[in-house]
Parts: sequence; C-alpha cells; structure tokens
Amino acid sequence: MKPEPLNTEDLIDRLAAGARPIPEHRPASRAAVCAGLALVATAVVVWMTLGPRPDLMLVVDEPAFLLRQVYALSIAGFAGWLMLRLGQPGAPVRGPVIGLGGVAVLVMGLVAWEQTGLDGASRLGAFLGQSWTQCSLRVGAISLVATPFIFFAARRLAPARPTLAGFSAGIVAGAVAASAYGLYCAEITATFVATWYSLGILASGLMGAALGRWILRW
Amino acid sequence: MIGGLDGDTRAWREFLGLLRPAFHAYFKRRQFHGDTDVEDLVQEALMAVHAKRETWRRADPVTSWCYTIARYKLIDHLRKTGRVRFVPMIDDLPLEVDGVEDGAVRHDLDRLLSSVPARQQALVKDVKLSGYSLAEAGERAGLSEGAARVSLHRAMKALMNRVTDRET
Repeated sequence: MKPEPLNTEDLIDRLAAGARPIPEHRPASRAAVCAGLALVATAVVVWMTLGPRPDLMLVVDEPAFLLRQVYALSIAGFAGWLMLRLGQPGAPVRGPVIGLGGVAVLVMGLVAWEQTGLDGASRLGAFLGQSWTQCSLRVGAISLVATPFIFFAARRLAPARPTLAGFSAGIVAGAVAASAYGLYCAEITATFVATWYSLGILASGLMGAALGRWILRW
Repeated sequence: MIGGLDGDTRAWREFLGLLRPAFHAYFKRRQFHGDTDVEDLVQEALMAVHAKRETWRRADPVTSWCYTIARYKLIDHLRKTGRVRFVPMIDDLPLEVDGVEDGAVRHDLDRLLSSVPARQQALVKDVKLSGYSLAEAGERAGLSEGAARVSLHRAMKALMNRVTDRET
C-alpha cells in the first residue's frame, strides 16, 4: 500500500491532522467488551442447540460447577492479558505467562489429589466421565462462535508475532466456549475438566494460531 | 507522544517529525536496494505508529515501542521482497548516531535517570554519556575519584534494578 503523497513531510502533516483523543487502556477495554459479548453469544448458542439444563439453578454452587467456571474464566483472563501484551509492542509478557502457568499447575495438582483418592476402576471413570467423546469437540465447535469477537479486538492490536498472538486469542475463544459449555455439562470430576476441556481449548488455540498468521498481520 | 494521544495535532506532528529521522537512520543502517526503499519503509512505519498509537502503554518506554514497530515493518518488508537477511532480535538502540537524543530516547533516559539522586545523575551522565573520566567527573561533582567510583557504582546498580523491575 503506497501512500498517495510520496513526500514524507506531507504524509506526516496528513497523519498529524488525524490526531484525536484516545482514551488510555483502550485496547484492554475493547478486549473486555468483546470477551463479554463472546460469552453471551456462546451461552445463547449452548442454550439453543443443547438446550437449557433443567437443574441449572440447583448446581450453580456445586464445587464441580464452580471449578469449571473458575478454570475456564481464569484461563480466558490470563490468555486475554497475554494477547494484549503480545499486541502492544515493547510490553512485557511475563505476568500473563506466569498466570497461565500457575493455573495449569493448580489444576494438575487438583487432578493428582483427586486421583490419589480413587481406586483403579473409578480412576478411569473420573477420567472418561459420561461424555468424553463429545466434550472437546463441542468446546471446539462453540469456540467458533467466540472467535470472531476475540479476533475483532485482536485485529486492532499490533502484535510483532501474529501467530503467537493468534494462539492466545484462540485460547481466549476456547476458554470462553468452555465456560459456556460448562453451563450445560454435567460431569463432576476435576480430571475430566482438566483433560477434555483443556483439549478443546487447545484446539481452539491452534485454530487461532493458524488464523492469526494471516489476519493479525498489520 | 502523550500530547498526540490526547488529540493535540501539533504535539503529534512534532512527535512524528522527530521519529522520521530516527526511522530513516534505523532503516538506512540496514542497507537496502536504494533510498526509495528506505523512504517507503519510513512512511510505512510512520503510518503504523499513527494507526497503532493506542497500543502504546504509557508505562512502557516510547523508544522500545517505536523500534519494535520499525523492526516489525522491516521484517515484513524483507519477507515480502524475499531477501534473506539477518535482523538482530535485540536492537542496539541507536543513541547518538541517529541524532534523536533530544527526542524520544532522551525522554526515556531522563525518566530513568530521575530515579536516582541528582549528584549520581550528573555522574552517570558525565561518565557514561559524555565520556569524562572518573576523576574529571568526580571533580565536577565535588567528589574524590574513589567516592565518585562508589557513587557511580551505586547509581548504575539502582538503574539496573529499575530496568529489570519493569520486565515483570
């Protein structure tokens, strides 16, 4: 894209004339709004396709339900933070990376603790649950609904590494989808969530990486 | 930069005007086919700075933000033109070579330096930036050479801590 005036001074004049007040933290607020919209959209999709869970009001304070939501939303939060940092040239990324690692360690610790309390047969049961064949696929599919929202926010950033930024955007979309699917899902073990939810989120992350390579260039 | 973000056209013009020679020198030093290439890249980078100005976090140094954008545009350009060339990951930020020390770089340096006491600031500037010897700088600050050495060492240590703190 070659600018019309080839003279750099003219270009600077023209750009400067376009200066407008820009609120501080605009990228972060835009990302937060987009993630919120994605959450609503995915919840609506879950509601319409899989149907409302009749006992939703009864299970909202169950530990398994809370674990799913805390896990999915904290991953979404840290991955979103990482996406923002990757998209802001010169910004440090250590904070969000440590956050993501911390969540992973906590969840693995929880799985280990759960598994040690079980005998052989129920271990496999906790791992596979009732719906292991569907969970990851559904999370992955629902993430397709969340992806456009997240990438809308990511497009406005300036990632020096578009593939990596796309990966973290995909993780956000996957985690948002996991949270929405968690409203429907009836599995009750940490092992199940840590395995199949994570797999779905990861799949969304990989799709995001492939996408980011192309559409997060600037 | 901040003026530009607040919508001050004059300040933004001045900032872009300061960046222009800096970018020019940056791309020039990574030699290309001809001057048109360099000027094109300068324009591309300036447009990117303008279009992406909201991605600068006010807590970050302006220089690293600008040069990250310049490097991205450079790599993008090399990819498009298909020339394989080595681009250093960590750039030796050009300080005096580019003649921008009154602009963005100076601003970041001043901000960093302002975190140590005035006498140490003077020492760091004299010895590390202006090239005085320790004894000369000490005399200017009213210190013996030994005291100057200790003071300078403390200042550099404090500055290093400041810089590393920001990485988190």
